[in-house]
Amino acid sequence: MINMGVRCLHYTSYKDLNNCGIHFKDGRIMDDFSKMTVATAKALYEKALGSEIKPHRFGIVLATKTGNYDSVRGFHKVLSKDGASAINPSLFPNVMLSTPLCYVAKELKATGFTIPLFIDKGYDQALRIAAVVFKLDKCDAIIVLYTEEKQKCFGLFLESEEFLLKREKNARFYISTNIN
Amino acid sequence: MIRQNEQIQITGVGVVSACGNTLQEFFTSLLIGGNYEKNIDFGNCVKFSYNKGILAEMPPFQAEERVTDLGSLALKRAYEDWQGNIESYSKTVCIIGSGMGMADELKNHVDEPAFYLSSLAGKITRYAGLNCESIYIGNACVSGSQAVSLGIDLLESGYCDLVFAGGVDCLSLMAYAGFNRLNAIDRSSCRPFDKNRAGISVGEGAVFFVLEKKNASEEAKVQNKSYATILSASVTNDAYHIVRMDPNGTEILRAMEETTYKAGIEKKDIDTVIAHGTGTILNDKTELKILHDFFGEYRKEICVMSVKGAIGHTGGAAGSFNILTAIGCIQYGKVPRTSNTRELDEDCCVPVVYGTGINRQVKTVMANTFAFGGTNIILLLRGHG
Repeated sequence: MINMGVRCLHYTSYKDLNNCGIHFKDGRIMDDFSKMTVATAKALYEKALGSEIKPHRFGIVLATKTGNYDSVRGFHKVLSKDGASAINPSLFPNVMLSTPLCYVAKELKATGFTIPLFIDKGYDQALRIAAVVFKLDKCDAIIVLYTEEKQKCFGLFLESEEFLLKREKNARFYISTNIN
Repeated sequence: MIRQNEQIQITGVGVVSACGNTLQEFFTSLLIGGNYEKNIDFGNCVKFSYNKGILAEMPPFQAEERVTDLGSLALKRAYEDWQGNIESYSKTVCIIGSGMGMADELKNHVDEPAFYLSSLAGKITRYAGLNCESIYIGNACVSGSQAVSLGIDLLESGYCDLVFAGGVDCLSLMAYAGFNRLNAIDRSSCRPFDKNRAGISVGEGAVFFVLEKKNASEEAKVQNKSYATILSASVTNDAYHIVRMDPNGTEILRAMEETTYKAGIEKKDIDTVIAHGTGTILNDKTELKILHDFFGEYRKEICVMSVKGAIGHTGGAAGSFNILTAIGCIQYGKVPRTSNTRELDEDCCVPVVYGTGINRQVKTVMANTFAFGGTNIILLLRGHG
């Protein structure tokens, strides 16, 4: 049984994005998908005192059903209307899921296990992968983020049970899962 | 968990590529040499109707059909090559990596639902006739190798006992246009580590592997038709820039050190490196420096090559093609040349194979993949005997 301690949760609504009080360093070129993701990750990091986690032991699992749908559509719109020469090279990376993942990693200085997932069924797949990573002792803490274009980003700051015990910290609750 | 006498082994391979559709065809084509991305037969290849700034002929295929066909065919071939019985395993997972996925399809269809992009893995798995959980990794260039790396994690943790993992990407107008605007495309051909390199060539393809934990004895490996053992894999993130590699290579070096340590080997045991080698000016320079720093005094004993000269940058499948090339080197005892490379960069400080391939008993290979967004995947593979 793998027990993952949930230190905190955070929810960022797309409607509240402009009022979330966060200054995005790369705000000029970030799309809303990335902004929601970073806003949620940053709030979790600060609430859970993520700076106490070693960067190489800090992981990120980013899951989405929509992906950066709007950026992909926007890219095609420009391509169709004005051709390839009108593409803004700074905005091109927004069509890939690796980009919001990178923004989060940069913001939190997380250099450990990072993975972006497209999920077409339940969100639990992301949690199960986090559980596998904890079981293999690859991370002490993982931020799991679920971002849906034009809707919301919901995130959890997880720590392994062993690490919580070592740090003498409490979790709000535990998510338990059987692997094997 | 893996028992002491078990290792993660690759017991099936499925390929769809411009170079060939089996391991043997693919590797033989690499040995013969050539610039295969230009030989891809797309059938009726026409210029797009809006040719403002489009600098390449792109075929009028439907992206969804193309990428799912490539992926499901490679997956099916891996299954057939494996010749195993899925029913005798308690849990099977299929992990699909793709950088662009079906994103190009949204050019034609404005009414696709918001969840359209995430349906790729389920489609590929179903079309291949597999009834199992599917996981879809969309992590740019490392998608395919991260699929394999995650497969290893799932097997080691006991989450499942059989994994199909690999990468697929079809030619993408979005990717081509984007890389073009980043001045990252070489109009002539991709020339990794060449003094006059100017960027990538775009490519496409799919490679899938069957991974399982098997008895580590040499007799068992032969009996199980194991292509290679995956000694270890590591994932790190530069946390540096959305497209540029960290020029210091700190996290890549850490991944290399970690992978070598986990594999229980020393640097001098690694004899071949299948580099990421995109042919871009900065990335190749950074990678060469990292290899120099990592291998140090042993660097003269290694061989380094990049397959992107031959097949172009296959996006999310690139890492899988690197693993496939590593298997070929192990199986055939040869290291192909890096296609199109004529004169090495003056700063090249590791032995890059170019001009002609070499014969070499290849035992342990490092396969490197680095992505937009900073994720780095390093894998170590070993042959038998």
